[in-house]
Amino acid sequence: MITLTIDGREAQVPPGTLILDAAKQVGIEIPIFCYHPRMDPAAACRMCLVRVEKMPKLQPACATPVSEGMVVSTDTDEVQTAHAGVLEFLLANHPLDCPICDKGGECDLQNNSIRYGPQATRFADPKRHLDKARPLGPIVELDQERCIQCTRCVRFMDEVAGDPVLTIHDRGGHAVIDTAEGRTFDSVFSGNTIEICPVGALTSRPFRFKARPWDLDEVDSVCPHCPVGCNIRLSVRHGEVKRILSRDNEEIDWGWLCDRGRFGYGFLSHGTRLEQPMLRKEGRLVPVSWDEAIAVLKERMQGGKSGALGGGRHSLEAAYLLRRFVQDAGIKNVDHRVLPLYTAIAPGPVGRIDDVNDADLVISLDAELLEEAPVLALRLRQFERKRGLRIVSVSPREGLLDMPHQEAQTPDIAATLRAIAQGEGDLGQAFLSAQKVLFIWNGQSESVFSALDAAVKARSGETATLVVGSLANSFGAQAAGLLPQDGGLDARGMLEAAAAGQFDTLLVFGHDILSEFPDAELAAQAIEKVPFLAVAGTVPSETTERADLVLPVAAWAESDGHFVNMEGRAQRYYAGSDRGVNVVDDWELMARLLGIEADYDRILAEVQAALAPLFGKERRQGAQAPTGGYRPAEGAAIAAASIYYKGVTPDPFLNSLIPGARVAVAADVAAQAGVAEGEEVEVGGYRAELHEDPGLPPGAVLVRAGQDGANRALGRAAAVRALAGRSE
Amino acid sequence: MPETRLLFKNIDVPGIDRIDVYEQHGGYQTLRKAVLDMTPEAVVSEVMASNLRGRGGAGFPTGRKWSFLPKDGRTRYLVCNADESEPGTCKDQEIIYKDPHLLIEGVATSAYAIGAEDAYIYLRGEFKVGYQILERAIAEAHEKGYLGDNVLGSGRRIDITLYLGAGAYICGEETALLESLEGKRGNPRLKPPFPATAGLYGMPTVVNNVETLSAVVPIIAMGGAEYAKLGTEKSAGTKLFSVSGTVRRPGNFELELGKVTLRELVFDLAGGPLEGREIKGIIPGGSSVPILTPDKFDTLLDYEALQAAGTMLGSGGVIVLDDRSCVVKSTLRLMEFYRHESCGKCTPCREGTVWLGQVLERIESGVGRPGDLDLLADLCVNIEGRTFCPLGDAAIGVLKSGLQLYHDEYQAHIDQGCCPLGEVVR
Repeated sequence: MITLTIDGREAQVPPGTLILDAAKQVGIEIPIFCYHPRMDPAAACRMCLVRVEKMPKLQPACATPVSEGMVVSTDTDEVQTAHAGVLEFLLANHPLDCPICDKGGECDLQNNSIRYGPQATRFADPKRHLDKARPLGPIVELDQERCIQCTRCVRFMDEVAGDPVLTIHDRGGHAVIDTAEGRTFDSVFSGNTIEICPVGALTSRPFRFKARPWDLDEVDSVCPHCPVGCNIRLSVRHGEVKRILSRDNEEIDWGWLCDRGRFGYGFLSHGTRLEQPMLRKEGRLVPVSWDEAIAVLKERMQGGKSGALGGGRHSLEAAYLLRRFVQDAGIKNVDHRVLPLYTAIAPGPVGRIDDVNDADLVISLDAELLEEAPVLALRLRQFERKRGLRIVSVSPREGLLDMPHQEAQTPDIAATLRAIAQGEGDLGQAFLSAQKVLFIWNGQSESVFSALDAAVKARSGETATLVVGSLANSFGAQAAGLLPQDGGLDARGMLEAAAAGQFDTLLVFGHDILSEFPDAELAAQAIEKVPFLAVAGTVPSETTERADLVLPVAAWAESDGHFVNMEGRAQRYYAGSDRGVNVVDDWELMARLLGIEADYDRILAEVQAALAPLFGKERRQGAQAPTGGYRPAEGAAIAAASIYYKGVTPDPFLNSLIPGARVAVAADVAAQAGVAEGEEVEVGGYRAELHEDPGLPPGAVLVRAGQDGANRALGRAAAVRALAGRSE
Repeated sequence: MPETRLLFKNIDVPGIDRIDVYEQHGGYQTLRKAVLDMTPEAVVSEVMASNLRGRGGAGFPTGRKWSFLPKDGRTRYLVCNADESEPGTCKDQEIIYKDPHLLIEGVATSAYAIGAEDAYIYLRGEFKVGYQILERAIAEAHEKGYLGDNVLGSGRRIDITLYLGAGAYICGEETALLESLEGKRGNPRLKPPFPATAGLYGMPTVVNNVETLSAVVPIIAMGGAEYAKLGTEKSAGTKLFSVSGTVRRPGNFELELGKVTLRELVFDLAGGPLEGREIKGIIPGGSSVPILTPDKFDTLLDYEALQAAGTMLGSGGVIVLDDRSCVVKSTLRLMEFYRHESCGKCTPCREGTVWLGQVLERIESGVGRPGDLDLLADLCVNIEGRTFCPLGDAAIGVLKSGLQLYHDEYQAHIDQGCCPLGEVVR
C-alpha cells in the first residue's frame, strides 16, 4: 500500500491508484469532464488539475498515479484558479442554451460551474457557431456547439466498443466530433455515448426535447431484452417511461447498455397494447371481466390435453406460480422453450459474467454475441485489449465475434470440442493447462451439450459455462420448472399434438407463436386446430388475433418482479410506469388462476424460499440438456439471432432500425442458385434480399430473425425450393 | 566573430546533395568508422562524452536520452524529427535541402548506435521538395551500400523510411509525431510511458531532431571529447541559429555555443538593422520564447546564459523586431499561428489561443477595451503550465513577455484607437 496526503488527509491506497481515486477514498471530490472510470485517462480537459509537491506544474489527478509520501493539494488558491480558468474557457464558446438542453440539471458543466466556476465570464466576443443538430446516425444527434471536446464518445467507441466510428475533424477551435468519413454512427452501443457525454452535446432521437431531467422519477429496473440482465433505471414522467439509463453493476454491465436495451421502451405506451381481457364469443373477441376470463381459463386448463407454453419473457414470480398452477391442475405439458436459441442451461458450473475478468481462455460455441448478448461482448473485448485474453470461436460460421479472436471453424462443434477436451493441438493444450476456462454457448444442440459436459469434466481447473441467446428470464423459467413433467409434452410436442387435433387447450404466455416458433407451418397448423387458445401477453400479435381468450398483462416496466439472468442471478425490477386499468401483473394473473391472494410480498417470500439458490451468492449449477423445443431438420436454414427484431416488444423506434428482410447464403449456394447479390428471393413465403456471407460453411443458408415471417424461411425444403426455383 | 562550421562545413559546396560529391568531401567516413570499427556502445559513449544536447528546442542531453532505452530485446526504432515548423526556424530545412547525406549519415550512425534497424524521417508536410531530395539521397546511399540489409558489409541492416506529415506544427511534439507516423491523428500522447519505453508502435523509440542527428557525424569523426571542448561545459559544441526579421542579412549561422553574443550574431553576422531602423527586441529561440530587449543583447548564446536572461535558446530561431515593427501586430501574427496549430485536445490551449487571438485582433484593430491587457495577462496565466503538451506554453511565450516589456505600446493601441507606429487602422 502507498501512503500519501491529500489536503492534509492521509490516504492509503494500492500502487497504481490515480490521485483522483485516492482523493475519492478520503472524501475529497476532484472535478472532471473527460475522465471516465471505465476508460483510459485522457487528461485532456484539464479540469482535474491539482498541486503535487515537488512537481513543477499542476498535475491532472485523473492520469497521475500516486507515489509514496506524495503531498497533494486540491483546494489551494492556485488550484481553484486553475479550475475556474478551465471552466471559463469551456464556457466562453458554450451556447448556454441550458433552458432547452436535454442535459440541463444533470450536466457536469453546470455542476462544475456552480461549484468551481468563475463568478462571471470575461468573454465578450462573438461565440463560435457550429451545427446544432447534426445526425450522426439513426439514433444519435450531435449539437457541436455544446460539445466540450472531452472525447469520451470517441474513446468509448474506440476503446470499449472497438468500432472507432467517431473521430475528431479539424483541430484547435475548429475541432468537432463527427463520424469517420464514409461511416454512419450505426453501432449497437451508440446510446452509451449519450449517457457518458458530460454535457448535452449528444442526444437521442427518442428523448430529444422530451423532458427535463429534474422532472423525471428514476426507478431501478432490469433490462428485459436479453439474458445478460443489465441493470437499468427508468426515467419516468407522468407515468410514462421517457428514457432508460444504465445503473452500473460491477459484476454485470459496467454501466454499458446496448441500444435495444436503452431504447426498447416505446412499445410501453404507443397505444397498441392489449388493454382488456377478451373472450371469443360467436366468432368475435369481445371484452369480458377478469373474473369471467379467469373462470373460463381455469375450466379449460385441465388434464392431459392442456398445456402451457412460454414464461421466459415474464417474471420469475409468474413462472413460479404458473408451475404451481399446472401442477395443481394436473397438467404435464409445460415448456418455456419456444425459440430456437434457448434450449439449455450449461452442464456443470454456470458461468458468471465476471468470470471473463480472470479467465485464461474463453471458448465461444456458436455464439454471436453482438446479436445475442451485446454487453457481454464489451467485457470480453476489454480483457482482450487489456491483457490479451485468448478468445476462440468454435462454429460452422466465421466472423461471429466482433473482436480480436481466433477462429476454429468446424462443421461439427461437438467433435471439435471433444478433440479440444482430449488436449489435441495447441488449443487443446491451452484448454487443459488453463487455470480458468469460460465457455460461452448458444445452448442449441444436444450433441454439443454432451461434448461440453465431457470437456468440463476433463479439466482439473475451474471451468464454467454461460448460455447466451435466451430470454431475460429463461433461466428463471427453467429453475421454476416450466418444463415437461412426468413424460408430458415439450413445446414442439404440444404443437404437434394440437396440429393433429389431439389437444384441447393451449396457453401461450409471452410469445407470438406464429411469428416466433421456428417451425412456422407447424405453429400455424397447431393454432388453427387447437379448440381453445389462450394468450397472455402485453401486445397484440398474429397469435392473439387467433386466440379464444386474450389476457393482457403488465410489461416489466409497469410491474414488480425478478428476472433471472444467464448467470442464474435473480434481479429485482420495480414498477415505474402506469398500465391500463384492466391490465394485471403477470404474477397476479397466475395468482388468480391459482386462486390465491395476489399479494406480491407474500408471493415473493414463497418464491425466495422455494428457489433460494437464485437469490444467493453461490455459483449456480446447471445440467439441463437441451431436449425438446426446436429441433431443426437436417439441412434446415441456420436460425440466427438479431439484436433488433419485430416481436412481442414491437417498439416503433427500434423497428425502424431493423435491417430489411435478409437471407444469407454460402458462396456455393449463391453460385448454384444463380441469384445476384442483393436480389429479392422468396424463401418459404418470406420475401428477402439475398446476400452472400463468406463466413458461412458450404451449403448453408442463414435466416436472421428480424422482420416478421423470418421463421417461415427456416424450413429446409422451403429454402432450397425457393432458391432452386430462381435458377431454373 | 566567425562562424564555427561543423554541420555547415560543406553546405555551400556545389552538388554536395549528390553522393559522389559528398563522398569526395569525406562523406560516409563516419558511418564506415562506426559500423566497421566501433561497437554500438562505443558510439553511444562518444555521444555521451560530447555533451550534445537536443537541438529541437528542449536541450535534453542526447546520450542520456539514448541510454533510457530498455535492454529487453524488443525492436527499437529511431525517428528523426524533421517537422521543423516553428516560425523563425529554418535550420533543419537547410540541411535537408542542401546537404541531405549529412542527415542520412547521422541517422544511420545513430541507428547503429542504438540498435535500430529501421529509422524514420518524419518530414514537415510542406517539405515536399525536401522529401524528393532525401528520397533520391536515400536511394543513392542504398546503391552504395550505406543503407540496406548489409551496411558496408557489416552484417547490420539499417533502413530509412521517409514520411511526409500532413502539415501540423503539433507533430513536432514527439508523441504527436509518433501518432501521425502511425497513421493516426497527430495529437500528443499521455506520458508516461515515454517513447523510450513505448514509442512507435509501442516499441522503444528514440526521437531526435535533424540537427541533433546531423551533429553525430562530426562528433564521431572528431571524437566526443574533442567536440565537448567546443562551446561551454554545459552547452557543448556548435548550434545553428536562424536569423529572421528586419536585418540586412537574414539566414542560418552556425556558432560555437557560449562564445558569441546575441548582439554579435544579429549586428555583425546578420548585418544589423535596416537603414535608419533601431532594433527594439529579439526573440532568440523560436516563436515561443520571451523577447529580449536591447539591454540584454550582450547575452552569450548558450542554454544557460539565455535562461539567466529570462528566455530560452529553444530552437535557435532568432526573430528581430525593429522600431517599425508593431509588437501588437507581431504577437497577433504569432497567436494566429498557434490558434491555427493547436490540436484542440486540451481546453486551455484550444480555447485560450482562440480567445487571446480575438482580444489581440480587436486591440490591433483599434477597438481594444479598457482591461484588455489585464485580461490578456490573466488568460496567459490560465494557459501557462496547464496544457496537455508544451504547445500552450509556446503559444504565450512571446505575448507574455511582450505585455511586460512593451506595455505602453499595447496600451497606446487601446487609448489612441490605432497603432502608434502609424499603421493603418483596419
